[in-house]
Amino acid sequence: MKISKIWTALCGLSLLAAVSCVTTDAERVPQINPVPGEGSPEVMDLPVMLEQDAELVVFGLSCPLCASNLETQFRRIPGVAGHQTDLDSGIIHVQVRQGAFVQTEALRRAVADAGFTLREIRLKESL
Amino acid sequence: MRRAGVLTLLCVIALPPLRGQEPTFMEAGTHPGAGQNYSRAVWFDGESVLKHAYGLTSRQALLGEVSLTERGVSGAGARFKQRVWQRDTGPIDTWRASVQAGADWRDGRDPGPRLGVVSTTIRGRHGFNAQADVNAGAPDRERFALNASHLYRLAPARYTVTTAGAWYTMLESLNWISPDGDARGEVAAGLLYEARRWAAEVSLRWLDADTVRVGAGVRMLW
Repeated sequence: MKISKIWTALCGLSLLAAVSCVTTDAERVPQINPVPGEGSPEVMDLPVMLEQDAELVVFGLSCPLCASNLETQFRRIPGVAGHQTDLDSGIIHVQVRQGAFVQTEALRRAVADAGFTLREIRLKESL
Repeated sequence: MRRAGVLTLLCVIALPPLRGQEPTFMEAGTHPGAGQNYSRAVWFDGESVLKHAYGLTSRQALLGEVSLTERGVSGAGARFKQRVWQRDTGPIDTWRASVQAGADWRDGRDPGPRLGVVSTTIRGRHGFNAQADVNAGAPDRERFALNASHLYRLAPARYTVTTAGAWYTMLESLNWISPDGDARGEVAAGLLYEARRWAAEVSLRWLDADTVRVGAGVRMLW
């Protein structure tokens, strides 16, 4: 293959990537607080502040080292006492400090900042 | 050699999503999360390469590297990485692609711009990385790079809550094309152990059919 063809292919790929940057919604994060009447009952009933342990279902964790990006993000959330990650199921158990509250938006943001996709938040008492 | 480069380029463009992490010698479509640091040291063929990545946001990162030999600094580079595609389809499964742009400098040459795309896909225990790079700061024989790799998770077969680390095999196809169309390729095969905050690797790299060198490295997320 001539260099000119390779260069053309690379330019085309770069252009495709640039277009994707503008048009692709890369973060598929479900609405935690949807408009009333929409979404699943679990999501609609989810409080803005959590005072009990919860489970997060997260996609894209990839590997042990990758999943550790979450540790730094969770440490920054007031009220989070700890968490355990099950890479196989994508379920992250989040422990809320006794007497404290955790914002569900903060959990959503932590997962997004770590580079993953939050699919669901479940309250422990509803499991 | 040219067929290997063409095949790699086709993989970059058309291969359906698979899985993988960063192998020893080529890059991956991953980077640390926002506010995270990721440092690597790779030793190969008398050269030490120190790499560092900092996550600006979940989609953007700054990367830098310095190459050292016994004579001193032999090269350096810096670039900005922008994730342009992310599709997480399972707890582990993902397909991510990034573009990166920056500059590269090699001893004895003027600095030059560098532009590239890189893709990582993970599915089950298999991973695949593909990279295409144009580096004006590199020697002519390394101007265009087309790389591909496959990583396979040896153990554990399935992750659990108590999983502390994982073993992977790595297989890399490294290819370079000069502006004159001269192409060459190398193959590397290695083993990677990845814990939650650090990783270590060792790899054999065939420079040609008769010459093999050992590479090793460590990584840390902090």
